Amino acid sequence: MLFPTLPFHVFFLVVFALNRALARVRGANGREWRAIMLLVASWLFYGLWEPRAVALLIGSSLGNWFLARRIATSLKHERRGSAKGWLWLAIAGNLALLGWFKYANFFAQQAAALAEHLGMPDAVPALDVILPVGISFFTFQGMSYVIDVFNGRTRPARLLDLTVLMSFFPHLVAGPIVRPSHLLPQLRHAPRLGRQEAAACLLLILWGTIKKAVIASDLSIYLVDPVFSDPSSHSSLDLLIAAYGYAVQIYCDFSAYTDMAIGLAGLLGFRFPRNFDQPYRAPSLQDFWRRWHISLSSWLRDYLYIGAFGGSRQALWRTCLALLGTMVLGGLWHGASWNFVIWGALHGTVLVAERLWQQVRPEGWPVLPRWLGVVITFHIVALGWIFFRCTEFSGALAYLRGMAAMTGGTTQATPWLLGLIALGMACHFGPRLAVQHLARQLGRLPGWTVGLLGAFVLLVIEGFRGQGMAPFIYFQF
Amino acid sequence: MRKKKQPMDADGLPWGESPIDLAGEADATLQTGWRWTWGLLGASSVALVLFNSHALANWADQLPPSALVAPIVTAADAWHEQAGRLGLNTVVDTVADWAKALRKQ
Repeated sequence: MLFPTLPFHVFFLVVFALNRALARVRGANGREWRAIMLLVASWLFYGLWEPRAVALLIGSSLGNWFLARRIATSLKHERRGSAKGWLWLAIAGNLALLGWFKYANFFAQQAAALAEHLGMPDAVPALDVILPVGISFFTFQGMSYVIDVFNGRTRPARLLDLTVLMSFFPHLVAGPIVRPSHLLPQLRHAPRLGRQEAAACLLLILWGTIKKAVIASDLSIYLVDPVFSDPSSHSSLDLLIAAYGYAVQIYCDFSAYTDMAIGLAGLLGFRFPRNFDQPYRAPSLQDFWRRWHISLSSWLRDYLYIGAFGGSRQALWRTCLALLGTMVLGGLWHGASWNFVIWGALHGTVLVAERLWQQVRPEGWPVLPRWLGVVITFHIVALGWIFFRCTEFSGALAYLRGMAAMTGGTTQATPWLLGLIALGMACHFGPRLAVQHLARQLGRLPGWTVGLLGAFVLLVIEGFRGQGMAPFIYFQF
Repeated sequence: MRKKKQPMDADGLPWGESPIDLAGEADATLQTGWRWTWGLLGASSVALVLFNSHALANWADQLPPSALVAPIVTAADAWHEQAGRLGLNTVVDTVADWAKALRKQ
């Protein structure tokens, strides 16, 4: 079930009504039934997509719940070594699950290629493991839960609460990755929804729908997909515009999904964290990662860069290795492809260069103007997106060669598409709290008036999107 | 002041980290938020049922063909045609024409 569709609209109205009805039931009973209802709704949402994957989700929740309890019991009896053993088992289990579904095909292909090279073409059987949607997200949620229990950052949850945390439909398939310490306490309290908060939720849903259904979808269908699928038959200018187009498309696509997720969760009385914060106005790559996919970058920072690799409180060379390692693994999280590894390595290398420059920059040297930092950072990010978008390394190289060749010719980019790229960039430089300001104004109007305004915007979007809409990019991760 | 109204903030997502956090909302509008949202969802849903028969027709057309589905498709298409005759599809059709022209430029 996709967010901006008719079936989801009906589904959400039913969930909203039940959620409100159960929230009115006082005491623990109301909270229990509300959690059960949200869980069943989430399984239905996921099951309509992939019925078999629901069993995987339940199994993962059960496993993480059981192992976190073992960790908590060991810590209670001051058996830290035993707790550590359970923790490693939980991490290994989650990684094994992720590894099998996400990387088994890739490693089988690599092994088959090696075997063929060695003259044993049939030595490695072909695999066809189907990737369940959202597995990267719910596996990371499970891992952060067991690690947080071990570190005392969150209390062991009841099975019901943990299963809701991992299955909750607004963030299940494409994030944001919500921390246990952020969501679990919200399950223990009665939900609250102010008019202005509700208006902010509606605005996020509408703005997300515009970004996805109009900007990202049109850029994908009419510019990015045709150019990236056959770079050799396009001019250098087309390749350059399509690279900018993809930078805007991926931002509008992914931020749209999380905007809608935050808005939908908010209407059910849950507060999700901000996941994007005008990333293309970052003056450095370090700042970019504080603004792009914040829930993943903070996850990688806390659990990998600091938790596993030691962070910045160590020798400089070790910090640099930690940065590089974190970004390469962050790239690999997106999928089993050398291009994702290169994308991560590119970001890691530039982050290392920025870190080293901070250390060795002579005093008194002029500081780069902020606008120039923004331009340079954006182009590094756009370069990385070329590797991210191309399925093969050779394809990315061909694309870059085509851009560098400076060949003339006609361009596929129409004024409409250039306007969409400009709009996608312009929203990075508007007021940061525009949604909140507008929500305050809308919250003063009657609900039905705001509803009619919202419906009008949706009708306009429906007219723009016509029959088709490109799938969400992050569903493949 | 805000934290007294929001006990969950003590051990949940820190206040201000969600884009829907709006400090200083008056108690009166906090109390009526659910009712207000019902009005919003109700009005928008009715408006969409009336003026967006395209979505219904598209959804019905994408259902896997079967004897059970056939009457649903027929009813959805009939409503789409009726809505067109009544002028209810004007907004979506007009925007669709604009969008077509913009894409062709």
